[in-house]
Amino acid sequence: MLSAMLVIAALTLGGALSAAPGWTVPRTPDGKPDLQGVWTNATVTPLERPKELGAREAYTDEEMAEIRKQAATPVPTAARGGTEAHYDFTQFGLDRTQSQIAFSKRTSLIVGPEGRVPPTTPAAQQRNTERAAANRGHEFDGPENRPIQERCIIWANEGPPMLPPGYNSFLQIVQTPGYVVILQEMIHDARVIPIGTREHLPPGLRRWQGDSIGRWEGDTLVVDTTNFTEKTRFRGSSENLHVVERFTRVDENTIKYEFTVDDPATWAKPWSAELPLAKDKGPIYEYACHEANYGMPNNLSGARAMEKKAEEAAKKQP
Amino acid sequence: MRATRPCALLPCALIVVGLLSTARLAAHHAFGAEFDVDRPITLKGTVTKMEWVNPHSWIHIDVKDADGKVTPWMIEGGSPNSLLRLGFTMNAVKYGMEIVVEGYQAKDGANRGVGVSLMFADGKRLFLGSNAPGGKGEK
Repeated sequence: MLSAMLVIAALTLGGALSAAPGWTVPRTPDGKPDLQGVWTNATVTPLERPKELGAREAYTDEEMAEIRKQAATPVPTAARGGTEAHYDFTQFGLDRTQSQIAFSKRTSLIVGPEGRVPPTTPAAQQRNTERAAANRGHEFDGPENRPIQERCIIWANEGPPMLPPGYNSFLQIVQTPGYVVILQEMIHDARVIPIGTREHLPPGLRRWQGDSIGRWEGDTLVVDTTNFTEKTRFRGSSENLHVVERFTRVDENTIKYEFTVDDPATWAKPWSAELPLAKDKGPIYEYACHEANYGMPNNLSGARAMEKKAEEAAKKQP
Repeated sequence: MRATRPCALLPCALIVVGLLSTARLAAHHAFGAEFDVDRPITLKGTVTKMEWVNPHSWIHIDVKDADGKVTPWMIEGGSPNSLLRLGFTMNAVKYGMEIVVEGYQAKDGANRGVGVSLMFADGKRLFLGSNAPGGKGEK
């Protein structure tokens, strides 16, 4: 693990990952770069760059040493706020010191001088405001009102594009001639990607994770995804979100993962990000989320109890 | 004397962003809707069942009051995937073990709760504390 991190650190000069000199990419029997294995995308790098860093894209070695030190130091429960104060993170396996982290020297996952998600279009703002208003006061009416994440349908960061889920940040890649499959532990989905065999599905066919088709550009796997549902909403996106992902194996322990998202109905312009996937010894575990989703009935019964309490309080009013 | 202040080298904003993103993702469910922060609980009970299920593990315990009356409780724990990866095995919690739970009760008043902290009777942490297997998270 340590060696993997060191390799990543060595390769991230200037922030961008590049192929290790003298290293030859391993190949599958059909001659394609071998991306197979279990990988982690756990990170301490924020999606958007802290504003005070301006256009600076990479940390110095000294700053990276401090970031690594901080990542290895648990945050006391007393110093946490909100939900975090309600769990002892080490007991829940959620403390950042308990994860392997794929370190990057980047100051933000988003690339480019701005390092931030472009402004949301007025139409998208209106759409998202209206959607939120429609659900306000009905958040706990029934299971359908709960976020798709809580319903165990899809995890918010499964994408595509794939961002770290925060814990259990693992994915497995399997290749066969003609297909690449990406299984994400959180929260169970396997994306089966045909390579160079067909065009996108007709516009009428929509999927939670969209329709992904792949091709090889040299030694980089390029995956193009469209046909999302209007319920998937990557950071407020519409069903016409277009995602292009690029997977390039740059050394034994690292895949450079890049993505560009484009949705004129949501953002003023396309934006791109880059993060490393670090090799993990595995295994990847099943995450049978809905099999034991006690949280869903607990949330709803909690809401019914609160409603009853409010009704009884109202009756007591003169 | 400490050599480095917390934000000396690293931009404080980065630390805050990191913490916020973790907070958003930590709980699979809305804590405030499921559990009641105004109903803190401390329970001592014996384990009757451990459910290794996602998105959260659940420990069933029998709690005996001063009169000897036994009440079953269910306590939410961490994702078994995380616990397993950190070296916490099925054998770590066994039928009949006595544990102490500090946490919060379910909002509907049922005998369910979230375990902020789960301990053995001698004060050792049940999951992943310094005395538990895999406590440092080394791979």
